[in-house]
Amino acid sequence: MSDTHEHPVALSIDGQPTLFPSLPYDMHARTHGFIADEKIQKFVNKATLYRDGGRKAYTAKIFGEKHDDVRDLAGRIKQHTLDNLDYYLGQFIDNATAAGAQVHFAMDGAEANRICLDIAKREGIKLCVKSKSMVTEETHLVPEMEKAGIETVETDLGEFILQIDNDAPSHIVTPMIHKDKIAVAEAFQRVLGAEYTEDEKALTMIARRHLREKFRTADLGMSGGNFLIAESGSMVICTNEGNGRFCTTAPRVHIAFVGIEKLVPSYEHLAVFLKLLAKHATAQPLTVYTHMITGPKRAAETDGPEQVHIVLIDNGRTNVLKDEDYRMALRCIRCGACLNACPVYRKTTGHAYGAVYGGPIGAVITPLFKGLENYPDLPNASSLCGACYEACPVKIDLPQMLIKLRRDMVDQRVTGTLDRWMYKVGAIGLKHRWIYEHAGALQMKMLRMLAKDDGYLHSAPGPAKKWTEERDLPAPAKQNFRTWWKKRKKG
Amino acid sequence: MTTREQFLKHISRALGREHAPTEATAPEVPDDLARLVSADEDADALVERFVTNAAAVGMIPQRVITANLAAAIVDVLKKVEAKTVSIATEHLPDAEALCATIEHHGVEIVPWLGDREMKAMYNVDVGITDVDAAIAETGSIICNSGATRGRGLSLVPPYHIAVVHRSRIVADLLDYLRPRRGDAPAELPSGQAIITGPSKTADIEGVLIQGVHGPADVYLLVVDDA
Repeated sequence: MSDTHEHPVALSIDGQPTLFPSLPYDMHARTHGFIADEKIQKFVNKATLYRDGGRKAYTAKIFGEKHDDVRDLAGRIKQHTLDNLDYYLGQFIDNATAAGAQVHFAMDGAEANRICLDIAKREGIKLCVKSKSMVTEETHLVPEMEKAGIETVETDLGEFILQIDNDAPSHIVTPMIHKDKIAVAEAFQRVLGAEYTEDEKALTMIARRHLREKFRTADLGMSGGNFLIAESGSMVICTNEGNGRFCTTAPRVHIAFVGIEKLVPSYEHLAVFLKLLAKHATAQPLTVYTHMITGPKRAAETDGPEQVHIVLIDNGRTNVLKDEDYRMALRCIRCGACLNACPVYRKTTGHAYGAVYGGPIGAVITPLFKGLENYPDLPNASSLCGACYEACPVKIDLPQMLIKLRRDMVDQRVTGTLDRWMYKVGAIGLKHRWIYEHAGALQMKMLRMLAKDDGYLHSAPGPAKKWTEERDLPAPAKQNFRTWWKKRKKG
Repeated sequence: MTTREQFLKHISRALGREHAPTEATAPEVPDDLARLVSADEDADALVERFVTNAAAVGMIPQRVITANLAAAIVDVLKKVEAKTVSIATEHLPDAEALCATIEHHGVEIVPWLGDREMKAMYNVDVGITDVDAAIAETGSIICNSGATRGRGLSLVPPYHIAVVHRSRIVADLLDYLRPRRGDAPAELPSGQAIITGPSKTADIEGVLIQGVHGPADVYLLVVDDA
């Protein structure tokens, strides 16, 4: 038994595994594919604009003028927690243990998966129901479970569809934002033997019936965690569908994978984040279910798991923590608002980022988790327009960090020699007035020569070629502002 | 295998020190920022706000008086054509009479105590519970696990009827969560569920569908006797 038993890996448009492409990752090849795909363009654009508009309107209505100050408060609480993460994690471990949970420690994804499989084997687990968790995507848990012969079923509707259709999530909150109902109907017909229907309600009910049977018979429930509360040892799981509650209630054993950055000091602090999370994600006051779990079922309680295991996962997070310029990135509560707000995400779509986390937050944390040299395109996949910062409920300064990453790329020589040389020449030009003026005049003359009679360049040479393939460049005016200003003063 | 000591030491070092500090003072959560509903709101206004916000998130609230509660429950059972229900009776007013009324209308009451796996509930049409608290700010109800209230009652059956006495309604989410500070971990209920609407999904083309995993409809009977 060797590689022939590999679980099939979802492939993307460039023929590479969707979330785990070979490194260094070339973003361009995949992006071209997605930009050319009109259906995906229309779909993702519509969905993200809808969510983005919903967030803006709803947060303005609820928070009014204090919105900015509430975001600031949330940012300060999370920053304080990260600055004292060793203290709060220690407190959490003590309290979770006192409540009867078992806490485990994983430095990387492989160790986390091993801990999970050891528990599953010890408990004789056959069927696992799983609620949505980004960190299990990071550790690539499901293929490992299946390889070990444990049937593992995603139960979030979107994730379930992606799983049976051998696809991967492309958005933190709405994982199948890139897929339409026809794909769902075909997958249900092919894999579940269901009758073909494009009715959303009927499709949802097919999934409900199928997954109910899994909930009824599963002996292990897997989940992530949105928050961990240091003061009480509780974990908090936010879902709309109720699968998160099912996975943490029906099976005998519950294992949660949680990144170390999910800590908040107390229930009171939790309130601030709950008030922000769902409003920024989906314009709801709270997610339908906010399940706060403190240890396994008590002796007197009727239902609930007999064992609760919490696997605390580092997997590159201390790399981010140790650099004070980047530590702020760990404030993220995974609301997905920056993805919806980002013009680059809207065009390129989530899979173009070649990693578990897409969008602006992904462009920052993926190179930090997995090495700048492995993801050199990501810090450049941003127009630095600042929409992500405006959208962020915990005020992560994503544009600043993207600029810092670009600087690091030059320092660490990740950026190619030609690029570095061009930046240097550019810097000389910008620093010296004479060069700047003459280069500008030369550029103006050349562009005017290339322009057609209608005053536009329809195809420019060199670096401007790509730009003019899509649109026309207006020719510069006969004289520039400086010349005009000088003449005006004289006159 | 990574031990607790190794794991925490690695984090301390990333923060530029050898040991974790022995205390930390977290930022205050000031009321003027975090609170969205005033703690001084008049009791009647609070009930009104809760009912409005619960309806806004898709639950079906109805104000009743204690004397009419059983009749109101029977009305819902008839509406959803229930054949079987499970009830957490302990905190419901006149539970014995209520059960008799329900059975009198031909609805079977399925016992659930001691059923860790909730097996019986998969075939039950309606779960009936009281609530630990309700939040006017968000229109939420809170159902905690306990010896007399199973987690499954508000999750597994396709319909959930929650009896909300007006004295349980608090103004703001903070008013429920703040008092949890200082509760000993082992004394907290193992599961506290803040429920804000029926089970929802919009995963297929953004179309909102209710009842994907949990109840498709949540009926709230707000007992309004002063």
